[in-house]
Amino acid sequence: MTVSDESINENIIKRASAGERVAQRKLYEHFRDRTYRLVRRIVGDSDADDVTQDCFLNVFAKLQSFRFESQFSTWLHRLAVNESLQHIRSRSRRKENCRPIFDEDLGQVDGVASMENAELLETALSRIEPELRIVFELKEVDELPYSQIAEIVGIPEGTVGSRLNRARTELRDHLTQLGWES
Amino acid sequence: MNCEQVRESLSTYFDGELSGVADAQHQEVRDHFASCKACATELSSFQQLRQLVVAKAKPQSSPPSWESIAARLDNVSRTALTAGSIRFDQNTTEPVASSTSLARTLTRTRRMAIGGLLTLAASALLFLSLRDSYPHRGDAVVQAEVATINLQPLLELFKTDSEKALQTLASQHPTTDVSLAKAEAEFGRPTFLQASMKRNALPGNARMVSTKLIQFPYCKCLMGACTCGPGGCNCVACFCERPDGSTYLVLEHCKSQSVTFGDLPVQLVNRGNRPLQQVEVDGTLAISWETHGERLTVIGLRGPQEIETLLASR
Repeated sequence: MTVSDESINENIIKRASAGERVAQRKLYEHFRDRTYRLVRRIVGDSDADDVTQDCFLNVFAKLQSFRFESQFSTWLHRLAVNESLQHIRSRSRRKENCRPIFDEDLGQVDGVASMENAELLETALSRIEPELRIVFELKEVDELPYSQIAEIVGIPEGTVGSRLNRARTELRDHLTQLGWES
Repeated sequence: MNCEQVRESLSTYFDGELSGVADAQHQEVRDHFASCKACATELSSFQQLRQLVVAKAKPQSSPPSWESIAARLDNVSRTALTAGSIRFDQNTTEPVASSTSLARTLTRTRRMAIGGLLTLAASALLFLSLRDSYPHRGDAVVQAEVATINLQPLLELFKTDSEKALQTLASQHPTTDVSLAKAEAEFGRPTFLQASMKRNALPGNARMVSTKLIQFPYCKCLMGACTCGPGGCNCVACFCERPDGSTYLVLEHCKSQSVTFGDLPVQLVNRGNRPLQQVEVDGTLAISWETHGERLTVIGLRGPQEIETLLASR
């Protein structure tokens, strides 16, 4: 059993798996903040609420398949990442004919010059592939080791480094294009 | 080490993932930076990026409330119950995995409602007509999140009117009254209680008073993967009566047909190395546990003694 948080033990997970609302609520309230933060960073503010709800419904539906062989938080993060990626792909299909707000050919538009660094970063993040963004966020924001990132994203540990290389290089290039002065 | 090799391991070096496992490589990369300004600049840009992330203001938004999650969970439970009755009608002619129009389904459901409650004779006839078109469904059915049956209403009604509770359950799923022998023939093996009776008295010195075959809506077992009989996916409900007239209900159903007790607090208890879900409502106990290829759910037990008797009988 590898539920890392002491307050969330195997018993609570099994009770939640059996459909007990009290236990489900305890699980939700324990993990909601970090899950929400992760989802929000992947899908953005406007969809974070819905995707977080979908994610937890999915978690409760699949709890019976959790085998206590990995950390519960890692398992949950993985579901959250998958749910978020699925959402992004579905959103992309819906908006495939829509023009993005900051398109590549706009270059350094006037508004960009006055953008704060936080906005620049958000914009640059939105321009790189979701798979790269997730790995970057898990490393830079959650400060997770490569081994855990690999488990959450479902890629070999050696691939984490190469994805981070690409994410950082592409981010830096987009930021420079947007007028970031490092 | 040349620039290309260094760039490949730039992130692993920067994140401290090279040290320890490859000290020599770590040292080589570090030496390279001392002599290569381009790579050192590249590394420096990673650090600046990190500082940007750290400095980034985090928007103050909150995750959704538990109430919003609970409301959607309730919706899922209701959908499962409703879908059960819809599928009861739908399956008369349509394969389970096919998508029929909701309008047609609702129209047919309404027609059923107008026709009144199913009589036992009608349900027996219907069951016979359905039997061959209700096969083992494999996994080509709706997702697991709508597959759960909420037994909370059944348990709450059972403590005041067990017969009505059983009728309600029967009205929600294809059900037919059968003799024990017929049930076992359809089920493909002796029922749990029949096997128990041969070894021991039933809990509370009860006797079995009726047996029903029930088809729960979302059985997902593969042929041979569960205990369902040759006639298709079906479950058995045995109604038992104690000498004082009180009753309990034993449901034997597919392992993959999950059940919940809604908002009721569920305890996980170990009895004889067997983990049981146990729920109590005003002295009325319900337990549910998995055994070989099936799940047993018993509603209406009176206390630990009856649970022990039941478990010891197998």
